[in-house]
Amino acid sequence: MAVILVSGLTKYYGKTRGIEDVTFSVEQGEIFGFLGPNGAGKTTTIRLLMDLLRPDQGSITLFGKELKINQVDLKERIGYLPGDFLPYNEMTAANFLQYMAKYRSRPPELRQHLLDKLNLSLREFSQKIKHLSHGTRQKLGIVFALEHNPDLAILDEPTSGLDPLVQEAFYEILWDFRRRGKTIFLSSHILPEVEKVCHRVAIIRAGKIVALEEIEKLKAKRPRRLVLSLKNKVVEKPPELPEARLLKSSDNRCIYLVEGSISKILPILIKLPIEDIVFSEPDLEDIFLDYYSEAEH
Amino acid sequence: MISRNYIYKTFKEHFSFLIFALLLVGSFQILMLTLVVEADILNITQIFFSKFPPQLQQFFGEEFIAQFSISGAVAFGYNHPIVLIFLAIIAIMLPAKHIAGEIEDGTLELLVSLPIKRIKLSFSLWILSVLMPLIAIIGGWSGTLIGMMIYPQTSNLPFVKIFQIGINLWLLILTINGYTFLFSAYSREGNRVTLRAAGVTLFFFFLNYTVKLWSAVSFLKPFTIFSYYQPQQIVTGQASLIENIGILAALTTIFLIIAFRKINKMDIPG
Repeated sequence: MAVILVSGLTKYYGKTRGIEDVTFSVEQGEIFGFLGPNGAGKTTTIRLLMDLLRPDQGSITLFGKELKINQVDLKERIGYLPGDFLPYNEMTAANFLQYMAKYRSRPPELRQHLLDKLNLSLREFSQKIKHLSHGTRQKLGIVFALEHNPDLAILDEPTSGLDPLVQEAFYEILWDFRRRGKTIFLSSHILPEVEKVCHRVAIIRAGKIVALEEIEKLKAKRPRRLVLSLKNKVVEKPPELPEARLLKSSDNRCIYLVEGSISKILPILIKLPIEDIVFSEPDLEDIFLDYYSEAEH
Repeated sequence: MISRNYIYKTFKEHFSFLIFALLLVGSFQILMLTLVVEADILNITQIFFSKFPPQLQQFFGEEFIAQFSISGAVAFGYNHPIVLIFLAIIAIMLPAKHIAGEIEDGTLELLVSLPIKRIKLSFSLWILSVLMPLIAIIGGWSGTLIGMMIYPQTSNLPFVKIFQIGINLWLLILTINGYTFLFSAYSREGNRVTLRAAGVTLFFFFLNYTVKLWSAVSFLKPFTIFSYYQPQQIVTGQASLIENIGILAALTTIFLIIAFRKINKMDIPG
């Protein structure tokens, strides 16, 4: 069942574009990554999903129910962490969680587990929020979003301000959620993070979805980098390879972008006086930049 | 329709100020009775003003002198700028801080992301906006009653009239609160809303004085909310309380309907 079903979603801020005709779905038990640089429309999409913004066009269905009509019921099942988590500064962290939990009918059953996991100390927990560091506030935000064991977590840049150890702990929390059949929608501009935790990813650019794929498929589809070091100096004509684009050649080194199957290239490579060969898997950053450069062209 | 959790938290936040306002409004009423009873201010004032040129006497008006009678002083106690300012602060700070202010702080975003309807939050805030000035006005009524007990010569004061003045004042404050809700619904900054609402209130206040003093602009009288709150006239039976309350209630309702509709539909910016 699609937990999130977004269709033709469009939002303008006056004349300024927010997002245009965004369509995607997220299945139950999925960790879905939403990638894009600042201003691409990630936060707008998330705020529309949370009913904080009202769409100009399109529809949002969560758990098979239309968001417009069932906000209260649906929000009961959602945990939300905004990009800028700004809780009540004058409250202590403990009071804040206690106060916010009263609005939900689900008890905060995971609070202690999350506090332990994120290493939020009792001292920090009883301090006024205004005295907490950015990282500690972010930990508090994660506890706030997940303590009631939501069926869907919508997290906007959740690891911002967290140190690497806590980030690891956070990923474990996400995997644990997923194991229990929960769905996670996570926006990020940190590519290794998305690569590490997500199954599928949507890439948004200038308010439009430019790619929507499983991470593995996305990687498989995208060009790989082939670096050839030849024994002889490349004079004028570097070797031509099928389904590969020459990016750069200098002295005895040629760099290609292989877009097709390696099987067509191998017979040619065997015949070449090769000193060294590096054939690297694309990382998400290459893919991301590739999508962006393609879209710009 | 209301969120007790929200009301309790917000009430707690403003509790100290409310207690301060309650004590201030109450003790101010006692002070007014003390002044009128212990010093024969009415007589002194009448002699003092009789020496003024006729234009200046007109400027201050009979109402001003009449307030130094016992019933006039009581009415004046409920119309004194200090009392009005404190009640107006309550009326303005609640929507300014908890709608526009919380949008600015980012906390409204968190609240709206929880399973609670926006209308429920708005209505709860309004309930608090209704109760808090009423509590301060009850402080005023209590002050008058205590003063009447302290000074037996004031025991024949018509408390029904004083009750009516309080109700009229309450409606005036709710009208100020109504347009502050409206400003809050269309703004993203608490301080800006506070300034706007305070500016409009001051404008109405001075317009009220201007129309009294300058007959050429008396046609503007219906356009200031303070025209519908005349405590001295309530004491003397010259004002129609029902009409005043009706107009203020109608205005408040219009402001709130527009504000609530806007809050329900508006985008909560990040």
